[in-house]
Amino acid sequence: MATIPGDLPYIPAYEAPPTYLNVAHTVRSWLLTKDHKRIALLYLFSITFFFAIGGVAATIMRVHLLAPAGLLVEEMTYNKLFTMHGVIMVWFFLIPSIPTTMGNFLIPLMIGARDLAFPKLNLASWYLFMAAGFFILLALLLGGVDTGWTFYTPYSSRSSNTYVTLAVLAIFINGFSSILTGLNFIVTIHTMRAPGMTWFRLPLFCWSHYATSLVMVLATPVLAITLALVGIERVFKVGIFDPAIGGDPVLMQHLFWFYSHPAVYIMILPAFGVVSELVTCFSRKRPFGYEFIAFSSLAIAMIGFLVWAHHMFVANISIYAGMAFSLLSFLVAVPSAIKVFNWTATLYKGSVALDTPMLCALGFIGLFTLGGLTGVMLATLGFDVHVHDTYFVIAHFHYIMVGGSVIAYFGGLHFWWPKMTGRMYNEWAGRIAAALIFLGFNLTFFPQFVLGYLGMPRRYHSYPPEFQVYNVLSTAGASILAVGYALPFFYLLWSLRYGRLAGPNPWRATGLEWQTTSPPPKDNFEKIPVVTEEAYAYYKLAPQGMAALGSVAAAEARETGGGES
Amino acid sequence: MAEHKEHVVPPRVYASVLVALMALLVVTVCVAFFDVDQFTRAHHLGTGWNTAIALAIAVTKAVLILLFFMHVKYSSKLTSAFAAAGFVWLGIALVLIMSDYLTRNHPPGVNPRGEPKYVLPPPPASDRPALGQQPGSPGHYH
Amino acid sequence: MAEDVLTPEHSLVAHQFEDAGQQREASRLGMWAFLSTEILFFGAVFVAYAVYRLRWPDDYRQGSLELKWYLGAINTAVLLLSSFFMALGVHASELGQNSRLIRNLILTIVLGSLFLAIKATEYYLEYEDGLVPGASFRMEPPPEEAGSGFARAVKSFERAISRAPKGQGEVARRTRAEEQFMVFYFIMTGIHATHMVIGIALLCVLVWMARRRKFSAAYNNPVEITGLYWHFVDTVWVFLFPILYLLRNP
Repeated sequence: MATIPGDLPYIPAYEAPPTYLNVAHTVRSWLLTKDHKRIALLYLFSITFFFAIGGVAATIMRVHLLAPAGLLVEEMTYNKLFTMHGVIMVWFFLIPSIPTTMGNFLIPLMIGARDLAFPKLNLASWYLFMAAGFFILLALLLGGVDTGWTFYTPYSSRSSNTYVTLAVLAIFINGFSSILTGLNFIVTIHTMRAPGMTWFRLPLFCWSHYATSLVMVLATPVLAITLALVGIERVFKVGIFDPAIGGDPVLMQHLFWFYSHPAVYIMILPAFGVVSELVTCFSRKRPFGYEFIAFSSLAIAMIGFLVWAHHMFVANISIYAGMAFSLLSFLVAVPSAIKVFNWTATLYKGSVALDTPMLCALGFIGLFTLGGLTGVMLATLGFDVHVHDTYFVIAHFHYIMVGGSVIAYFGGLHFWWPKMTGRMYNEWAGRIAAALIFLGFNLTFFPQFVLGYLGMPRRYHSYPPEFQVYNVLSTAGASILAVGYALPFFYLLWSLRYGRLAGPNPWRATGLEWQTTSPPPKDNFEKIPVVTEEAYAYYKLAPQGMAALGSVAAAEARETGGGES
Repeated sequence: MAEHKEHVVPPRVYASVLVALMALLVVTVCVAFFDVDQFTRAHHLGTGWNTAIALAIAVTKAVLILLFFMHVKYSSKLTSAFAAAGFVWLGIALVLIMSDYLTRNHPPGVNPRGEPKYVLPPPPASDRPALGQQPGSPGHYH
Repeated sequence: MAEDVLTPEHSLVAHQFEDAGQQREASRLGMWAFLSTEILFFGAVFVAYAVYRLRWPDDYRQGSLELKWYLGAINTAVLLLSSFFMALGVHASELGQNSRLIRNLILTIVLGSLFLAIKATEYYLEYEDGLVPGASFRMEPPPEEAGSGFARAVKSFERAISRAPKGQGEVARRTRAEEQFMVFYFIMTGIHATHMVIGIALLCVLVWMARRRKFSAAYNNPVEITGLYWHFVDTVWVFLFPILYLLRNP
């Protein structure tokens, strides 16, 4: 407990304190580690790799679409590109992104535990993830898959001659990695909280990860078995979803979306958690309506299971079911809106500091709102029939997933980077990257709303000439976005060696994770802390001058005065 | 996390549960060979009773196993909640998927009893269409 | 009996836990969370089965009629009995009675293996009957005198116990939808059997651990959570048996 900056014992500069990073240096110590913090870093490397692959596929597509007839690739290659982009970005980046890196790293720190409840399962989950990654890369190298990330039958069972079975196997294995992560979080948050850490003292990050984990545990098995059935149908040539021999392809869509719609919440709920932390820290305020933010996460997780058929409005489902699903889909907007309003209210009269993580958080709030509202439009039966399978849908879910999840991921990464590595990155580089990502993102995807509204269908490798101007705008935006994504890769690596030492609490944030050293020792805390207050006791810092606490520059000034590390 | 004394269930309870389970097994097999619907139709009680009884007995058996063999009766509320969650979510899947299938393609008045009827063409006598060939004419429903 | 009771010093608390109580709670909750995953893993196939059964009621009923209900019933009894012995094993471990624990675990393993043996026999008979979907599925039931000696013996046994024997009008020409029923039959029982194999492997590990005196009244988490898993697999069969074998009436 006694690790508030001022109280640190004097440590000579040449004697590096023991951290989880320097406790052992062999490759073996990394590959067999059961430390949640090291596993988080293993995941960080892995998903960065997959993010790059998915990004390359997207870049090729965007360049290809510069001209109406297409510039680069053949039709079939284009199909394989969007399939790979979707599969890799969804299952190998977005779903594991925040939970397996920040969730793994932070949940034990935030609740005051030495590790997750099941460290071996945690490592097993990474190995499963890597096994799945191996199979998906194998499918890619052997020639790719052309069904789209949704694996709809009969594309995936009868029509495709590509490596569908291999890809399906990869996602099946990946599912179990995801289940193990979720299960670990649930048990950890239930049973491993430090003394005094009640549910309503939990950071909102933990609440949203708890909700995410419930979705992972309850939805993922359905995807696993559905894709297993597709694989069985393909390999044994029996009629499960094939209409010619008694099957029903729409049933496959039902089962697929029973997972894949809640999967959207697996991607966005952790982002909500990150943004809740960022907004409070950089407004120097406790969150407005803590309980509402906490319970709205659970509400989203729950209602998120009742809406899936809005992906199937034009698949000849019953009109009555369509109406019910449309209404239920509107309901999800309520808890989502509660969150947006609460973040905004937290900003109100806060002492807002525009550091890199906060820039990401503010970008998130705006982009998520736009993505969410277009989601309500799409949930409307009549409107959906017109824009179904157009770029309007593409733009909508990229606003949620890229404008939401990925920006929150970058925000969180910048926020907790000093905790993970002990070093500060260059603040101005960070701000420039955040601004580029925001601008590039909007330029990429806003024109796609227009494109979709005008009727350009998704998954086509060519288009009529009148759509060219929007496609060129979009590709221009994508190039800015690519620069924005590449920048952090360089300055974050640079910071590992040359970055200023961060100290335990560079942002002057509250919360248990900031009360241990940076990087934390192997067992997180010298002694398990006893919690006596909420995670957001920013009002306690107020007498020292709220404004002075906000920005990094101010913190730096304090540090030089304080003589820390 | 104060450790409290774990509840130890006496073997007598397990034995009684086993006897009940075996009895239910015998009942469900016997009912399967008896056309309950003949009786219920005569008394205007509807049809589908064989299925309903078989499922009710299965649910009873499962509840007995969960409560006693799996100690849910003696466990914390949290355990019961997780035990229930799987079934509740399965119920969500079943109800919402059926909400589509049971109300499909029925303009009001056409098929008021809501019984979808599907017809497949008779299979070709020789072999099935291989993968990659043109699929045969799909089943249609009316 | 007294020397059989182990002392609590054998308890093992992993470093991330504060005490044995927390560890027990965590492992129990972890297993229950895993079982809720399993419910949906099996459940999705149940839902698909329900959709198709409603769509092709006659074909699916004919499929049920072609299954060996008596083997399914015997297997249900075997599995329920194995669950009983598993429960007794957990009971023994709660009291720290090591040899009684080992005895009950071995009985559970034996009954579980018996279940798999009967299931394999059933699969073989279905293969002889031309009921395995895919290339070996036959649209006409094979004639009575076809097949191996064992299959013929089973058929004459069936004639003896059944009022309306097969081949005399009840099972006529098979249909594609009946083949689909068999697909679901093999997938559902196959996944279940896979879980049984995993369960038996876990029980063997428990026996090995118990012989090395790893368990005591204070530390029996592995026995307890393996028991939960075993009972769950049993519960799945409790549903599989009626919906596959017993829905025989129109």
